[in-house]
Amino acid sequence: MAVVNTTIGTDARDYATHTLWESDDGGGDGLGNDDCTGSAYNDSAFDEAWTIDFDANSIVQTVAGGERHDGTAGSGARILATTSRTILISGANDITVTWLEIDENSTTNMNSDGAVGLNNEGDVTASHLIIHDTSGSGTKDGILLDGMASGDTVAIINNLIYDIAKSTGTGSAWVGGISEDIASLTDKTVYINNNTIHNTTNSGVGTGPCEGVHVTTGASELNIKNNIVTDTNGDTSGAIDDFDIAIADDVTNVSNNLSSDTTAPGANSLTAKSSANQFVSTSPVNLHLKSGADTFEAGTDLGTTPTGVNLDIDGFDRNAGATTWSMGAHDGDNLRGAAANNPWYHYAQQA
Amino acid sequence: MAEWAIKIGDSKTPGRYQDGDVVDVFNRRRTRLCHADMICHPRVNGKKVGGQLGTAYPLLEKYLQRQHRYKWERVSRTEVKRTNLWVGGEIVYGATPIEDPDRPGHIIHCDAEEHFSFRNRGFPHLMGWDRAEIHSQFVAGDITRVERNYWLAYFDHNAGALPIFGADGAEVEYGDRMKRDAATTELIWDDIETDTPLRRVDHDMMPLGEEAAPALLALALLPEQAKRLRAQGVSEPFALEYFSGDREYRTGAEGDVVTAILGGRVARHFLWITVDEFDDAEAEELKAPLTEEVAVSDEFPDGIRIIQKRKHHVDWQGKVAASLSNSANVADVEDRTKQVDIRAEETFDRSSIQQTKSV
Repeated sequence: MAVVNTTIGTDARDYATHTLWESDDGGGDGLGNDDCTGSAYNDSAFDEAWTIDFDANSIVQTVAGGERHDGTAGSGARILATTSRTILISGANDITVTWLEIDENSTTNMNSDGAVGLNNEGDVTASHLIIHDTSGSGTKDGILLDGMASGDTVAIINNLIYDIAKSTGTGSAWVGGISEDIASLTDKTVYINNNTIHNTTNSGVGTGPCEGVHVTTGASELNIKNNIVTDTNGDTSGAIDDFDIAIADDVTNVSNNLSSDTTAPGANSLTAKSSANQFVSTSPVNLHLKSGADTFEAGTDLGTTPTGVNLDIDGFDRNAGATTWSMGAHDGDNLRGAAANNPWYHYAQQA
Repeated sequence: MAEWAIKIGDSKTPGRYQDGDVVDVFNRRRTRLCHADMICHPRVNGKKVGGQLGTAYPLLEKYLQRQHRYKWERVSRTEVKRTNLWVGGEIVYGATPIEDPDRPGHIIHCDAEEHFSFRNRGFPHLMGWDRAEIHSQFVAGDITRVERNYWLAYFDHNAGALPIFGADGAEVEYGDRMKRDAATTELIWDDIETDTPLRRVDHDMMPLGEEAAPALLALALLPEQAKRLRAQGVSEPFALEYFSGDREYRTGAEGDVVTAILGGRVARHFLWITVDEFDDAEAEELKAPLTEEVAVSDEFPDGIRIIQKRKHHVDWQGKVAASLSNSANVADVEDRTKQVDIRAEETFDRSSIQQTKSV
């Protein structure tokens, strides 16, 4: 077994594109022996779709330290689409996709896998992604969970997803921020924690549903905590809900969510809260928490499980200070006392 | 002129890539835009420029104006003015939600004070410094421990702030949808050619590294350009990096000539060849998988099953290698320890080398 770390970008990197990296088995032997990490650099914008299905012991698709977004679009390594782009995770081993921005750039031809499709036989983590701006007709999903094997764990954590929109076309097309479409989640573990989803839209006078978070299959362990979903909307005759959650099998792991409608599920959840009172700005889009946000320090402490849940969308460690967790992808550390305007306050206190 | 990256050797996992597959393709638009991204939004000390209010980045601002739909200008402590650069129209708003005139039914708001304080967060005067400079300034007592640690943490995490222009309290930024089409790419290059000695015709190949393509790019920084940049408060070393994209560079005897070495090692494991030009729609088709139609099901919700990763391939050992000069042979291409770049040797006619698999 070998650890294979490679770089992806157009300025002195190992691979110019993710497509080339993936087609070369992530630099590994392609026989399932290696732990392969491909780190993207913010040299130029990527414009590609790819399916991760090579054989490795583990695969991490990430962005190099120092090259990551700052929680807003256009600030780090990104996919900037000229036609709809999908990252499809469809391998047989543990795969993580993290820290990328996927700007669909109002392209109209998204396929049924969504911007990030999770259809893997192995554990999957999709974290710290910024996914935004779909348009046109047909089904739209930010992150779509549509395949898991028995015993697998899926973690969808600390993502910012906004403006996932179907703008035209009648019919029954579905729109979702984070959607689950699996026949059974029995023997599987799902974490949907600390995500922020805003302005999911189903327009065109169709009949399909429009939902910020959709999980309607009972699971042996379903965790839905600390999520913010606001302003799900449209003119569809189908259901329009911030959350569409069936939690009959396990209600103990669903809590501390916020919605702008009445659908936030679980204990300590907040409903009927305005997005204008939560986010700094929606044009330009800056979904960091604003002063006085209802979600600020209204979450529950999730410790370090699943891995990476404690790091917010700015990379701030929620466990670094003796503070209460906030809901959503941003912890709002810049709002705490003397550290105003400085989200790196706790880092700055280090000797 | 365009390029293909051809797979060398079969993937180990069955059903994946095969020797000769056309894995990725780059037409002129994509290649020139790649270079433009790096030229117009360069790095300084390893970080993308931006977020330094009061510092002029004229080419970067033009580059953003060419592409983005919206321009936001802070017009008061709490309000912004949004201008639609594509179709015209302005609106002024603040933290109180209003309906977006461009998207009826959608509510927008912006607390300008919070937004721009977040944008300008921390210690903007440290932006652009590198680690060594941060440490030396701390040792000299010129910056505080908080400032040092803030910047080191930021340096380790973020690519660089989104570019902010204007003055403190009157900030300007660009955002929302972006035009990335061929016409916009050429307009961006018009700006680059106006403001720099760089020429688009020299940027029609994807940037490969010195190991793969030891091409040197000579940049002449004209005295009047240096003078203009100095007048804008831009130091000459920065100006050199600005034009060279912060790549490795050398100054000439007069300090006015830069030789940049284009970086990258992207040629390895693939055979890159030059082919005749194709448009974006053809590009998508060229790297499409081999598929067959099946009944719609949970497994195949689109009614399509992928049989092979790629539909198109090239008999590179026959039709490509045979026409090359002595600079590379089949064994060199197959040797993963060697860097081979034959792109400058010949432009292949796609119709003569492209083969299509069948179900």
